[in-house]
Formats: sequence, structure tokens, C-alpha cells
Amino acid sequence: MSRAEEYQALLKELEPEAPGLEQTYARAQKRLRKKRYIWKPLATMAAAFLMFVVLVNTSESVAGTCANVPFLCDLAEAVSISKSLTDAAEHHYVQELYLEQEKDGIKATIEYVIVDERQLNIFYHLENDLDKELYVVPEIKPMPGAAQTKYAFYVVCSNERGGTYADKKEKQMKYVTIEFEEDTVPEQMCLVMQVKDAYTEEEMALFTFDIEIDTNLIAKSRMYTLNQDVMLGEERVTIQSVEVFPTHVRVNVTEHPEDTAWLRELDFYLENEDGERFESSVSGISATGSSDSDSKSMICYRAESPYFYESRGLTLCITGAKWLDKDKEKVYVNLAEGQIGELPECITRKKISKVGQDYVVTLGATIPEEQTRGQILGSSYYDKSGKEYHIRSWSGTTSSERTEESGVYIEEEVILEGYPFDEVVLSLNFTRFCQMEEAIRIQVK
Amino acid sequence: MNQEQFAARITYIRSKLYRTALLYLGNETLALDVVDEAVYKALCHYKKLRQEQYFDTWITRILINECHNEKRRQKRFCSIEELPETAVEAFEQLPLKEAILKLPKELKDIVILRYFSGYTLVETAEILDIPQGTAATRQRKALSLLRLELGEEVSK
Repeated sequence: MSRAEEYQALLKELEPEAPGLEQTYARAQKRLRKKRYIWKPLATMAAAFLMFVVLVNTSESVAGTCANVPFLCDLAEAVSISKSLTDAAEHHYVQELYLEQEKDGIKATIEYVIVDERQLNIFYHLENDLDKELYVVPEIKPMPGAAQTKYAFYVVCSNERGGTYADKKEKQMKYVTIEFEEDTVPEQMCLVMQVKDAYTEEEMALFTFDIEIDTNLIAKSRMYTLNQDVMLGEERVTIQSVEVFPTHVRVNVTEHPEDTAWLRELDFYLENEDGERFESSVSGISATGSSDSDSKSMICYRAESPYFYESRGLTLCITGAKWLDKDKEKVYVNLAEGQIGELPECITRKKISKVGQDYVVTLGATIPEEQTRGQILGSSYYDKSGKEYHIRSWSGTTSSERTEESGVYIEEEVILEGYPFDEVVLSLNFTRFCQMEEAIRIQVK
Repeated sequence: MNQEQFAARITYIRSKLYRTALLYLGNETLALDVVDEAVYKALCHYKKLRQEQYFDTWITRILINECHNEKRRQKRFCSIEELPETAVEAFEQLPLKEAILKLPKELKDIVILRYFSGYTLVETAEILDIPQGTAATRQRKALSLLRLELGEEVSK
């Protein structure tokens, strides 16, 4: 066979289209949707209930700082999205670790921690020559002989996408925030970092780092007991206390049994005597739920910390709240007919459709401008027998235009992946709002 | 370009992308994976493409990058040795498909895009981001190594 004949034969060999090629665009669309969904819920973890239990170690904390740690550029960039962590880093409230491991073409380096009694921020780099986008699922394990600890975590990426992914080639520092609810951060622990492919979710590497914290350098928190009742619309809650840590503030709230709704979000800020504001947290762990599994209220709220400001006075200013009526938390949907049961006034049905094996439900909501965090729908949904399923991903848009009702219109699309039935019960995250004409001001100190 | 137009462009070009990837990688599954990856990346970023007329060359460039990435990954498991330009006799003795795979990367890019994907010399130079003169020189060199006599006018 001459070269010319070989060429013609090769052209023919390449002619047939591969099975599945016609679906390439559909697959890309699905993947894009999934990508949006993976980070979106993490970015709005405020709405999630984060359950905590007990941590082992208690130790005397002594206020202190880690001097001689240069305020490095990559650390500065990593903490730039958090006022509290930026303040902490600028005050050299940083401990150096420099732990490094390499496995399966991936190098993980832990360089610093910013840690107080309740919150541990671990700053790391992840590099890989696999040309993959990776993300980390962290797990804290006790050292041998210690009791198991419970915690909540939030992985922060400081780049503009705000997601959890490691960029493939950039050696960008990221951090994971780990919060401990009822006791102090342990002196020693194992950090297990499961590194996953961002798209296939395949585990690419598993690193185990022994983390040792110098507890002598942990600054002691300041607790202000308030015990003050406030009316937020028709419901009453008690603002129990405010705790000020170097990395964050916690505002603790007690709900009342006679309340007809669960408190889903508290809008507030702190203000010092100079009028400087410390806003409630909009990213990371911004609120945690009650340990009472029957309650859907969020009872511990986070804000930026005034710890390093040496403020003489501090005032808690409450501007609004988001409520979930106890008798309206679920809504029935007939997926086949596209019918939806009674929705609260602020929520509207937009679209119900079937895409392949999945149902896609789109809802809209008009909400106060200050309360655009969190999803319209809760993460659980149920079939007729009450069996629980989970929404893995949300996709949302926020209109930049204010509506006539002086709110912001948001739209949210969820996928009920592979849901086999025509009827479903969805759970809502909120049903109404209250906004103060004037902020309720409570003097903290 | 809106999403509908994007979908239409993909329908039009997907076979060409697949052929290109198949020749680069010599494996149908890998070729399909790489096309998927390229289409996905294009979908993520097509709104940043300022001039729609460059869509085909733009997505082909993405595809070729993905093919090179895949080749690098493969190299970790099995080595596909490229032959140097001086190995004239070795190229002559190899079947055409194999000889193309063993071409130095720069020459292989030209041959695949020009004679199998059906791009013109101008488009090929655009895709590879090289001057037309360089593309023409590489084309001549590659054809000579492959002992392939093809005219300039190869239809798309």
C-alpha cells in the first residue's frame, strides 16, 4: 500500500462518529451545573445545621501572640476575605507549622494556623502535576488515647470564585476553618486531608498530618452575658450572651417554646464606641443550629471580631430576622402535573420540569436586600412514604434590581437527582421575614 | 453567542474535534473524554470569546491542549517515544498512522490539523498560535518525513 493509499484508508478509519459523541454538549451542561452546585451550598453553609458534640481537651489558655512570624503575602491574600483573620494576622496572631507531604503526584503543605479557643484555621497549599482541579475534605481525628471530637468545618478559597477548588497550577494558599462548639481546640490532633477530583469526586490522595498547637499562644476569649429578651416581629427570643474570640464573635440566642416559627437567620452587626462596625459573617460558618434535633432554629451566630481593637464600648445592633413557620415548613409538589401546594407569600413557583431521569424544580422569592443568604429550599425532600432524600446541589441567581416590595428577587433551581416518583414533599428554609425600622440596640460592654 | 448557538456550533464541529483527538491519542475512549473536556471548558468560557468567528479555532486549541495533557498523563504509565526529525528511515518504514504518532509534537500538530481535521494553513497557524510561515515550514518538513505527497488544497 502506497502512502497515498494509507492516507485515504486512515481518513476512512477516522470517519465513524464515536457512540456517545452526540451527547458531549449535554454532558458538559450537566457538569457545569454540578460544578455550580458543589460550591454554592458550601458558600451558604449558614443555612445548614451544624451539629457539634464534645471535644476532649481542656487547658488553661493564656493570651499571647506568636511574634516573629512575618506577615507573608500569601497569607495576607488568603485571609483577605476575612476581616477578623486579617486583623489576627496583622497582629502576628499566627502559629507556624511547615508540614509537607507528597503522594501520588500531589504535594500538600501546611504552613500556618490561626487558632483560638474554639476555632482553628489551617492554611495549606495543594500542588499537583495531574492537571486536575482538586478539593479537600478535611477530617479531624483524635490522637491515640484521646476521645473522638466533633467539629464543623468550612474550606475557604480566597480567589474570586469563592469556591473550594484548588486551582490546577497556581500555588495558591487556602484554608480550612474548623470550629469546636463546646470545648476548646485540642493541643494535638490528626488532620486527615482527603484530596478529591473536583469533577469525578474520585479520591486522588489521602494525607494525615499530626497537628500540634501551642496552647500557650492561644488568646483567652471574652464572654459578655446579656440575657435580654427581644421581639423580632411576632416572635420572642432571648439574646443570651456575646463571646469575643480573636477569630470571630459568637452571639448566642435562646428560642422560646411559644414561638410559632423557627429562627433561621438573625441580621445584626456589632458597633464600637467609634462607630466602627463588625458585620455578621457572610461566608464560612455563619450560624449553627440547636442541639435539640426537633428544632430547626439557628441559635449561635458568628460575626467579625473586634478582639484586636481594644474597644471601650460594644453594642449589638439587630436589624432583622428570617423565620420558618413551624406549620409551613413542608410543601407538597406533584411533579408530573407541575402543581405545587400552598407556598408562603414571599415564595413563588417558577418551573417544574423533567430532564432525563432528574426532576428540576425552580422557585423564586422576594426577600429583603440584607437577607439574600441561604437557600429557599432545605436540603431534604421526601417521598409519599416519608423516606428522606437529599438535594446535592443548588443553583441560584439574584436579580440586581429591587422589586416593588422593596426587596430583592432571587431564583433557585434544584435537581432531584434520579427521583423515581411523581410526587414529592420539599422542605423550605424560610417562610417570612421581619425587618426592624430601627435596629434593636443592646449594650454588650 | 448564546447557549443555543453554542450548542449548534458544537453539533457542527464535534466530529472534527473527535477525529483530531482520535488521531492524537489513538484510543476512542480517551478521544471522547478529551472532546468532553474541551466542550466543557469551552462551555465554561465561551462568553469571554470576543470574536465568534474564531470559535472553531479557539475550541480546537482547547482540544489540542487537552490532547497534550492526556499524552503527558499517559507518559507516566507507558512511554510513547517520539522520533527525532533526523530518523528519516525509521519514519519511512513505519505505517502512516504510527509514523504520525511518532512525529515531534510541533510537526504532528500541523499534520493532524491540516490533513485530518481539515483546517487551512491560516487556521492551523491561528490554532497553534504560530506565524503562517512557520506553519508552512513545519508542514513541508512533516510531509517530507512521512513521505506523503499532498497538495495545499485539502478540503474541510
